[in-house]
Amino acid sequence: MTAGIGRERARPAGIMSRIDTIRKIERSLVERRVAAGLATPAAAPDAAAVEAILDRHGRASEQIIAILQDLQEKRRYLPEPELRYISRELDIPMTRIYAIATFYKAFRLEPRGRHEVCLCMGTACHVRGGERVKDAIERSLGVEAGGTTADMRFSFETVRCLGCCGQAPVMTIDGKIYGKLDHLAVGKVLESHT
Amino acid sequence: MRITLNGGTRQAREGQTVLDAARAAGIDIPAVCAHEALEPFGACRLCIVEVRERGKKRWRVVTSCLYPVKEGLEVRSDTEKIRRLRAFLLELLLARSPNAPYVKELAARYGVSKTRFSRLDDDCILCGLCVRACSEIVGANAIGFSQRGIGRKVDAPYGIDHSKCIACGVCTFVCPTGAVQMEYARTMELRKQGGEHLCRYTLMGFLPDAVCSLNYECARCEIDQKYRAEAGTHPLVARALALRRESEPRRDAPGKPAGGKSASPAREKTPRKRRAAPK
Repeated sequence: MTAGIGRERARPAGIMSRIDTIRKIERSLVERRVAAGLATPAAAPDAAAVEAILDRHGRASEQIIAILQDLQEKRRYLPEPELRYISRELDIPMTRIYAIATFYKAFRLEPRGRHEVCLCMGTACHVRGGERVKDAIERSLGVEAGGTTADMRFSFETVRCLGCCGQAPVMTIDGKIYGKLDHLAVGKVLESHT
Repeated sequence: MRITLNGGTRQAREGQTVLDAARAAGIDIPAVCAHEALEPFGACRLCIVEVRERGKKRWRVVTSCLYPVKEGLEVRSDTEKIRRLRAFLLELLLARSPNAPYVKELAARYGVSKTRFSRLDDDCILCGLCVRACSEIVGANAIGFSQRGIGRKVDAPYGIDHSKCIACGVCTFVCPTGAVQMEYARTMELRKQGGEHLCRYTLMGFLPDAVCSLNYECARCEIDQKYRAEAGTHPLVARALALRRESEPRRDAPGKPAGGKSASPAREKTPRKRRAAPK
């Protein structure tokens, strides 16, 4: 359904010059807004890191998903300045990159905490009291599922099944499995992660 | 090449879609997301028809806007099955945009007046005309899609100031339901912050340098109305159509040999170019 949007097309010369005009105006508008104190200057992207990723994928625009995956692996989310840098370098419209980044659930546009907490909400964990463990985690972290604590220590996510139902109710923190939880055990496990 | 449309044999050209051929033959097929100035997209699915390729037994349901004509292709656009499927699609559209007059009229035209599904009140039917026009006609790429499934929407990256937007208004012009509207107040604000007045007709490349007598209130623009009256459509759409005609002369060539009735200068130009092209 998304075929055709923003893909490479030969454009007539008139349109190219207009695109250049738009880009120039865009730059000057942003500069003026910043100078007038109406906008904060855009954070500088980590150009060296992005360049390394781009080079690894041959700077090919069709590799955009792999590039975003690598960027997310490095930064644990997709930071806006880096996305804008990629958009400029590969000549992919920002709207296109944003569409891809919001289409796939694996991509995140918000910064993530240092520790990734995934609590299972599958059938077995549900039966063994997963819902109460969820409440306990939410109370102890002060964020709802899908959120990140203000001190960037934890990101909390619920998942469907972690594939080890014998350990139910179960959660993982940074990939390590903590099984047979209850609302009391959860607090201690979380505290051991700084 | 020859194809069969609803039982009648027709000439069609290589590269035409089934929808092009059917429309050239005067067959009514609803297609919301198809636009002659844009690449086919296949979002609305309303243009479904049944086709059978030469030598095949099975009839298949395909979107005619994306399906290229082939030698000996048989097409049925008005079977019971197609009517049923189309009515279902219209019911879904009606559930999404129950208050959009365009959707209501379209549904009524194909005999659908109520929907069995829970209603939203979103005039945007996600046909993607605005997004594609912004990308293909304007080249600004100021708006795009975000999210997916039921959360899919037309959006600007990070929802921040639309500095890529040149306020040309093509998106509002092509929008069938009126879901896309210009925020003139915001455009003005953006311009003031920019510290200078920017005319959209300059940005579109229609005026070398504009001095505006209306103090850049684009909502009251006279040039707008003049261009529209002359072109009969948004000036950028008109130009995109003209460019398309020039670069792909075959696309607009009539399905049957042209009769001698082309009188307008625009029509005169095209055949001359076509003859020059090597066969």
